[in-house]
Formats: sequence, C-alpha cells, structure tokens
Amino acid sequence: MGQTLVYGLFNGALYGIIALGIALVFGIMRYLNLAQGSFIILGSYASFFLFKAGLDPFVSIPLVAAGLFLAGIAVFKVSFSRLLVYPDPGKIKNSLLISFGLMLLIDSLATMAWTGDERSITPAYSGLTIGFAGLRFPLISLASAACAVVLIFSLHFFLSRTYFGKSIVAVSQDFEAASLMGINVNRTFLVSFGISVMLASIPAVFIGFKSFSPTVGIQWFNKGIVVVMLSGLGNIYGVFPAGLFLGIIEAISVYVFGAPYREVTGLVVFVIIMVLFPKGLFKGQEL
Amino acid sequence: MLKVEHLDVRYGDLQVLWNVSIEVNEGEIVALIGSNGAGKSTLIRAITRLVEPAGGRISFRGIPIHDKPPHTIVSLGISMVPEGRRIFPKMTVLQNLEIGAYLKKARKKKDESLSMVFDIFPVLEERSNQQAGLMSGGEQQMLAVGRALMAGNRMLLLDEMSLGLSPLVVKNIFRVIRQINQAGISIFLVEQNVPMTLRIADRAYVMESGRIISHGRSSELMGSDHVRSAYLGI
Repeated sequence: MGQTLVYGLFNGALYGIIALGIALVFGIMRYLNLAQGSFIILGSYASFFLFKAGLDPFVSIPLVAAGLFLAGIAVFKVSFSRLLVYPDPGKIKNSLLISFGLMLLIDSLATMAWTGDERSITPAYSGLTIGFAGLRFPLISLASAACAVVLIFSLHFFLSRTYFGKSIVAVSQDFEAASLMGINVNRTFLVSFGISVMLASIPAVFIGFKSFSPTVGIQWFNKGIVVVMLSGLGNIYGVFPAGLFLGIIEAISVYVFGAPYREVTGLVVFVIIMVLFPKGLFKGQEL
Repeated sequence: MLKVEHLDVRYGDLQVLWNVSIEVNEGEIVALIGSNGAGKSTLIRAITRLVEPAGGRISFRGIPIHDKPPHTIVSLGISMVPEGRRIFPKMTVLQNLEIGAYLKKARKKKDESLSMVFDIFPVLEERSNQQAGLMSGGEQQMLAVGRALMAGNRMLLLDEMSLGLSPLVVKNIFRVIRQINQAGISIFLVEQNVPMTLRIADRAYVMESGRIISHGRSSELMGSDHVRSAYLGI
C-alpha cells in the first residue's frame, strides 16, 4: 500500500504540472487548449533527440522550454490571437475547435516525421531508486516532483512579484481596465500563451522517461483537464494539490481493485466530485 | 490639450455619434452632460479607443491618437476612470494602486504618487490590504480614481462617476474632482448628475442622440432654458 501511494503521489505531481499549462491559459484568456498534450509530446521528442545527440534530458530542459515557448508564440499569432474579440463563451468554443485541429495536425506531423513507434529516454540513471523507510523512491520521480515544486513557486513569484506577471493577473481579471493602466493587452496574451506552452517542457521530460509516441498527448491532456476541473476552472494555485489528489485516488484504486481499473476509478471519483462541488475543490482563489 | 474633431462612431450599422467636436484646454474641468443613451460614454471610450471611431480625428497635445491602441494613449498622458469602476476585484487595494503605476515613467514616482493618493483618499490607506472587490461602491470608486492617478498623467477622463452611489458619497467625489483639478490635472467628465456637474465644471457640452447640441460656460448653460427644463427640472 505504502509503495503504491508513493507512485500515486509522483504521478499526481506530474498530473499537476500538466494541468498548470492548461489552467494558466484558461485563467488568463478563457481558451481551452486541447493541444497542450501534443505540445508535451513534441517536447518529449525534442528531449529524446537531444539526448541521442549527447545532451542529458535535465540539462536540455531550458532548450526544450525555449523551443516550446517560440512554438507557442507562433501558433498563437497565426490562430488563437483571432479569437480575442469574442466574449468568453465564444472564446471557449472556438479555442476548442482550433486546438482540436492543431492537435490532429501536430500528432500527424509527428507520426510522419518520427513514425508511430513508442520511444523512451533511457539515461544510465533511469532505473535507480533510493530506499527510505522501507519504501523505494525512483530517482527520476523525485527529480520530477522537485521540478514541479520549483516550477510552481517560480510561477507564483513571477505572477505576484514582477511587473509583467502582475500585468498578466490584471489582464485576467479585466483586460479592458488593464489596457487603461497602459498594459499592452495583446502582447500580454501572446506572451502568456507562450509561457503556458513552455510549461509543457517539464512534463515533456518526465513523460519522455516513461514512454511516448505521437498520439499519446491527448491521454495526458485528459489527466490534465480532469485536474483543472477538480481544482476549479481558472484557479492555477489549486492545480497542484488537485493533481496529487487524483494521483492518490488512482493509487488507492490500484491497491483495492487492481491496476486495470485505475483510470476508471479516477474518472468515477471525478464525476462524483463534479456533482457534489460543480465549481471544483478549491474555488474562490483564482488567478 | 485634447481635441476631438468631427468624430463619428458606429456600432455595426447603427451610428451612435455624429460629427462630434469637443476641446479640453490645459487646467480645465470640462463636462459632457446628457441623458441616458445619448452617447456620452461612447465618446469617452472612443477617446481611449476602447471603441473604434468610424471617422474624424482625435489629438492630444497635437499628436493624433485616434489610430493608436489604448495602452499607447495612456502612455501619451491620458488616464481614464471607466464606467462601473472596473477595479481588479481579486487584488488588494494596494495591488490595484501598484498596477495603476504600470507605465515605466510612473514606476519611478510610485511612492510619491502613492502618498498623494493616500492623502486624497485616507480610507484607501486604511484598507490597503483588503480585497478590492469586497469594498463598498463608494470606496471602489475612490480606488478607481486613485488607480488612475497613479499613472501620473496630466489629463483625466471620468466616466459616470456618480452612478449608483449615495448622495453623500457623490458630494465627496465631486469635491475630490475639484481638488485633483487644482493640483493641475485637466479633467473631462461624463455625467448624468447635471446640477452637481455644472457646479464644478468650467465649461460643458450637451449631447443629445449622439450630437453635441450646445456648449458654453457652465454658468451660461445653467441659465439656458433648454438645460433648465431638460436636465435641472426647473
């Protein structure tokens, strides 16, 4: 049981950082980005090929992050930026359409370029574990959780302490009033979309260590969106605890019902929580 | 200082402003009065380009601004308090004021501006750590004005300040407008509360159905039969 819970918590941390990118975009501009999972997998490929070229996956994170940031900016410029004129419901619906198309596009291009084979990044330290209190902690999972925590604290610092971060928060609360403060709203949207795609670089590496193929992005997106809903739409600070919660639920399910029912139990609990708390578990502390 | 010439604004096929020309000189308080739906807010929103003009020109200190985005207009020196206050509800009072000093030139003078705002509105200092959305309407309106002052601009646009506030709070707000003006800030305000407005404004324009139908010194307008019967109820 203890060992299952440990794995559950590590999975949950991963879900949490996947959800962060989705929640950030939704919180700021009311876009649902279905292609976030595909961006993660793109990052996994980048990390994989850089590893083949001799670069350690942890060392290459900044490179992958920069690449994803630019990809996010480019995609926003040609597609999502056109939705900014719509009221919220129009933004949600149209962004779903655009990002669904984008997901199919990225996944197909990835299949054409790199075939549908499953791959994984396998550095020398990939199987190592640390023993503590009779439990085994995989080294890579520990690093993953540490990265997640660092990421969340740096995002919080960025949003609450820097002028640009504060302007993002202002835009998310009232973009028209923000423009009257001298904030360039369109640029804020552009850069924050870039940042949210850039956040895919952390889960990208850790999914890279597991295994990935061009079409698994949507499965990870599904985990992410469940966590975002559990946390309460638009609430970026509830995302990490909600991710851990889903991880624990799945772990308990593995222990009680067996591994095949992991996904099902997670979704059933999700539905029950949505019925009981339609606004999520951590409402009222939005961006 | 601020000059609007032959401005037309359309919402789709519906034209709401027709050939509107107004001017605000340095140091003045100029008012735009008129009934609900006359197009007053549309004019003030067109100046900061929250709505796009269909024709005409707007210039500020000789620089054309009708083709510039809102944030550029603000950085050129025009601040605006929008209708409905539009404070950032989930930020604290202090965070709202800090974001008001977002412009690079305002950041340097942030502390100075902050103490000036706290001087004008002592209540904002007492409430500085309160969540802004939880304050009363009057306090939120003060915050909205304070936030606009933080930019350190010399021209202030005020849209329907008195809407939904108690008479006592309105009186206080109008006193503050005069105080801000005496500090050298030019003011263009849009108001439905005509008696109070004419008392503090140097000049006023009267708008009906999207057209300026008359303008003059406030004292003259207060004497005009049309203004007296239509807006003052005398």
